[in-house]
Amino acid sequence: MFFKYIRRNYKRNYKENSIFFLSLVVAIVAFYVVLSLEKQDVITFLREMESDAVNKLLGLIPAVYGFSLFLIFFLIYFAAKYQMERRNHEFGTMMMFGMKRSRLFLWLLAEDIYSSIWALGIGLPVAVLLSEVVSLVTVKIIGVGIIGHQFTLSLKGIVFTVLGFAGIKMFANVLLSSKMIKKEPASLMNDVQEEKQKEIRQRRSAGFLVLGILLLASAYILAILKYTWTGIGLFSLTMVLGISGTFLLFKGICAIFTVIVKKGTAKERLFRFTFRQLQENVFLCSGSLCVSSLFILVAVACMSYGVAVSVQNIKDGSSHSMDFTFESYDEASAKEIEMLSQQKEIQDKITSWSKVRVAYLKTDEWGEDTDRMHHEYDTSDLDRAAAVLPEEEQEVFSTYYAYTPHLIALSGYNEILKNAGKEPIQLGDDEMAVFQDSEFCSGEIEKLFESFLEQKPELKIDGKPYRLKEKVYSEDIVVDRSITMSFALIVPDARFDEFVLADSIFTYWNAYIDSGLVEEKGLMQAISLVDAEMKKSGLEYENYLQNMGRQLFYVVASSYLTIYLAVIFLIIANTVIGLQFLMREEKIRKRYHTLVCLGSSSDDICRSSGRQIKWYFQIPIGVAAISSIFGVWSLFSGILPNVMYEEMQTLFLIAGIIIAILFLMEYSYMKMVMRISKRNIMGMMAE
Amino acid sequence: MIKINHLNKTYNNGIKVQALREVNLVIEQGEFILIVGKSGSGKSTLLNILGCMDGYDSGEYLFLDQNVKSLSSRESAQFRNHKVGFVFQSFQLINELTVGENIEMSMGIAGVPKNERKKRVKDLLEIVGLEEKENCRPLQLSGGQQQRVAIARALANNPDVLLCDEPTGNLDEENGIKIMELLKELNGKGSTIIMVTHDLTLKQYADRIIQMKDGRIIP
Amino acid sequence: MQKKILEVQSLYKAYGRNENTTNALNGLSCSVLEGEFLGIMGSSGSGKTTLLNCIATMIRPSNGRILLNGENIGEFKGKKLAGYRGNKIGYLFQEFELLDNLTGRENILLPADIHGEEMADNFQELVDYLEIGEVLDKFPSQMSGGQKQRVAAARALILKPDIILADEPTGALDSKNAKSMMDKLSGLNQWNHSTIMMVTHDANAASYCSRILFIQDGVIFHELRRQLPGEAQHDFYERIISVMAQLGGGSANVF
Repeated sequence: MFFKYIRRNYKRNYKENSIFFLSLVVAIVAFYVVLSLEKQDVITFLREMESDAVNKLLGLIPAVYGFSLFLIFFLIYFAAKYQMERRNHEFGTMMMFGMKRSRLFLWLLAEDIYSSIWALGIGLPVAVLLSEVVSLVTVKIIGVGIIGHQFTLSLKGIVFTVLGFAGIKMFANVLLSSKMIKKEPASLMNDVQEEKQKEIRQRRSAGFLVLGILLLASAYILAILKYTWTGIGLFSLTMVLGISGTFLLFKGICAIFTVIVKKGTAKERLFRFTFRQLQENVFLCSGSLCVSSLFILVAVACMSYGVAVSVQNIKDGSSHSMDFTFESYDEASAKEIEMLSQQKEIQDKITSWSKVRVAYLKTDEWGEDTDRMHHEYDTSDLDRAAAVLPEEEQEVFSTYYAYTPHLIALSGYNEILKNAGKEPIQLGDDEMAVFQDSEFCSGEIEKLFESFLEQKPELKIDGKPYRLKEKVYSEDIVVDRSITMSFALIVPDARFDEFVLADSIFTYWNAYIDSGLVEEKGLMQAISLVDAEMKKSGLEYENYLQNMGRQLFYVVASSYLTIYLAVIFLIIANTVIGLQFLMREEKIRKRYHTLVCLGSSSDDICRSSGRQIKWYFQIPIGVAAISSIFGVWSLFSGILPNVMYEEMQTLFLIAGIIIAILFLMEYSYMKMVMRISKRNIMGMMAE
Repeated sequence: MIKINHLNKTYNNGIKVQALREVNLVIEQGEFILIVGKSGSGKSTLLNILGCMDGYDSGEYLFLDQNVKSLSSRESAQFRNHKVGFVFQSFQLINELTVGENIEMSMGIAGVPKNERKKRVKDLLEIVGLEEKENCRPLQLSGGQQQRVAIARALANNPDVLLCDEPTGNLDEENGIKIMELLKELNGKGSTIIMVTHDLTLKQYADRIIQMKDGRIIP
Repeated sequence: MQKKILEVQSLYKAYGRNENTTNALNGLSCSVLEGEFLGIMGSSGSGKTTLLNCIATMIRPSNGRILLNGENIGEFKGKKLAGYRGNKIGYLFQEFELLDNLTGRENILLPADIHGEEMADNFQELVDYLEIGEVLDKFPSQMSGGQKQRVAAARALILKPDIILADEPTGALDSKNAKSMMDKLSGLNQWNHSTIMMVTHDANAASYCSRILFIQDGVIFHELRRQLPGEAQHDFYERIISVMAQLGGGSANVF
């Protein structure tokens, strides 16, 4: 018999608390997606290459999950408290009938389990589906044919989601139930809790408002100054100023409404009432509004950070050229590679090889061997050219060429260029070209080099001047990181042999897979196929997937985690705002009743309520929006200055998408609260 | 049957209010008692304490010579289930349940088997004259009918005492009279009835009238 | 001949269904003339509250008509109804308390806020007369019971309603404030020509009225008119008491 009652209660609660229920389902989905991260196609793929990094990421997940469980626990406690208090009357009646407290407790436990089952029953399938979709979409974005798709269910994900979610929900309910059953039935039934009227003092609030704005403004200014990021001291100060400023702002914002009310025209119905009511709500709930606003700010910051990191790591994609790189340093190792290249299975699949020779310019930096040839390396003219650059850049820039550079043989480099479909370099006997690894090269740095090279600097080796060509070359000579050079010189072969010691030369052998094979099998498959053969040789080498993998990893890791955290924070913020509003509305039913009796129609009241809801949401969102402009600006200029200048377009596009999604989310929550409020008002009118 | 000695109770909701002061009372089995007084005189508080719905600060409450305060939480629950039945001014029926389900609530809690419950519900509805309404929802009935359902519910477990808090308060005159007649009838059959009201016209039904003012009983 | 502001014609109100019906109002008829101060008395359950609620449009009668200035308001619904409440009909009911988050001024102007009317021109007059100038910028929690009730009275009058309905306006006031309140109401009736219909069980309050209707069992049972000029309030009071005693009901029964 009681089971029937439990079912009915669940339906009633569900209808009245659709916001909360929805938030729970979203939380469940978020939990599962994060917990099942290892089953995502992308991660499986990455694991093979970047197993260390991937494992570290996967190791982070329990901590992230635990943290979010903690946050959601508070949300559930808060919402469940509200629901319980609404039912105090019912509980009192039960006790009046003689229901034992222990029985009531068990009953509530049963209700909790029942609703958890429902939430999980809806949430888990959606989660699994979403996880699959995300996996597929990620694969699509990265590139067709790179990764295959497998449908896998993460059992671990399901188990932990269920345990975690049901656990914190049960814990919250147990806490609340225990508190409730200790009360006397009479006090539960005479539920009318007379709120202590907290007075709104205009001047005090105005003071808070002004102070809050001042603190916030100073936090904003600090935030956009570059050196805030240099020390933990300044950083914490900014945080403290920002948080306390926000808190005081919310505490004092009710002062604005007095002004609005006084200036308002009576033409709009219920104008004064609406804003007075809003003022009261904001005043009494300033604390939680502040927290919600800060949560939204954090969510936006998380997402921006994730986006920034992703963007920074996504290169143009067209940088794919070679597929494998081998390194040889002497005749024997060179021979091994030659033999490998002549194997039939390899020959079938590899269309060409390019060889690049690299070695250090021998100067007297290399102290010890006095019987070796040393060359004089004179960079004084380079300094002259560098003087044209902006002051703060000069010091860093000069470190590029200050030390003995690597030399790259021209012929080998032209082979690289040919395979990449580019024009070869023509170098005169007294010319050299500057090379910089693409990893170091960014738009900003390229500009610096351009200004530098325009000055026609001359390098002197053994007293002979060599002019540097106007362009910086950054077509990579290895597929990943066999060698990385922030500054090197491409020199004609004759000069190369002159300036280096024969036994210090490294040769990089690059293999290019047959394009037909790539088209047929897809890039990853093709590479894997050849890789299988290469492995047999026992030689050390690197392949393209490792390069790609690393970038991909950072993108994926940062975006998944940050989006997850952002979602959690947004759910909490919005649910808190929505529920708080509905709670307040419940308490002031009597006022609505008076309004009706004095002649308000239900339309008027719904309109008033709708207006209150809009303002009530938009105030914390607005504050968060302003703060996030400064926060993101600060983030980018402090941590990721490069990103700003380069990928502006992509950034704006992604920012636009994020803002659109956020807007959509807020709008849906608002609409939902309005709908529930309307239903409550109509219900009240019917009485 | 009921003995109350030197009962005191104070509420503390930010401001201290002494609801009951040195209340002494004896009620015999089968009596029909009317407790009258202004709002704030403490009569509802006294009723709540009698029904073990609320605690008290000092004094003694003996029910059939058993000290009620010494009851454990479980025993208090049983007390409320078996020994007393409540009837309220605002009926306090659970609107999501049918009339029959409302009545069988306390029996369900007591663990009475299903068919016995069903039978008793029918009997009770007959006593209060609402046999056909078993499957209606409370909100479909008039005030008087709802109150009668509440009385049936209160009688479900054959309580020793019926505690009524302004049972006619929300009813118009005619229905009020009908309820009083019903209560008088039940009293005639042996139920002890303790009723709180501010309507003195009802005194004709009672055996004894107790007046309260400012938390005290006025002799 | 004075104009009839309010006319109640054969009003019926039944509660319950089928066999269980009770008639709270049994074909009650009465009228209120412009500028009258009418009192309605009767024991609890007599139907006086039901009558007031019908006129106040809080409940719909089962049968009969209520004409306010010739219009049948018993049939109004929705927006039309809302337009009348607080606008053409002023309330001084105990349940319609002041909104505690509005100042005195805003409470008084609430009907204007609700009906979208411009600032009322009788605001200052009312405030002066009811002596509530000092609480205009205070909140209800800072006002005494008497001040709150006077603010409520100002609220009832701000849109110059055709009739003011008062339900036990002195119920929650001590005797001094009650007298003050009734003095003010009586003054409003005389000086402002406000038509007032007041339900009360307090003979003292009733003695301020110019005419009293006694209700029992859903119909008008007796009528008392104060003989003006000449009859002193005290004498009128005595007459009221004797009628009440005859009815066997009235204030003796209710605390």
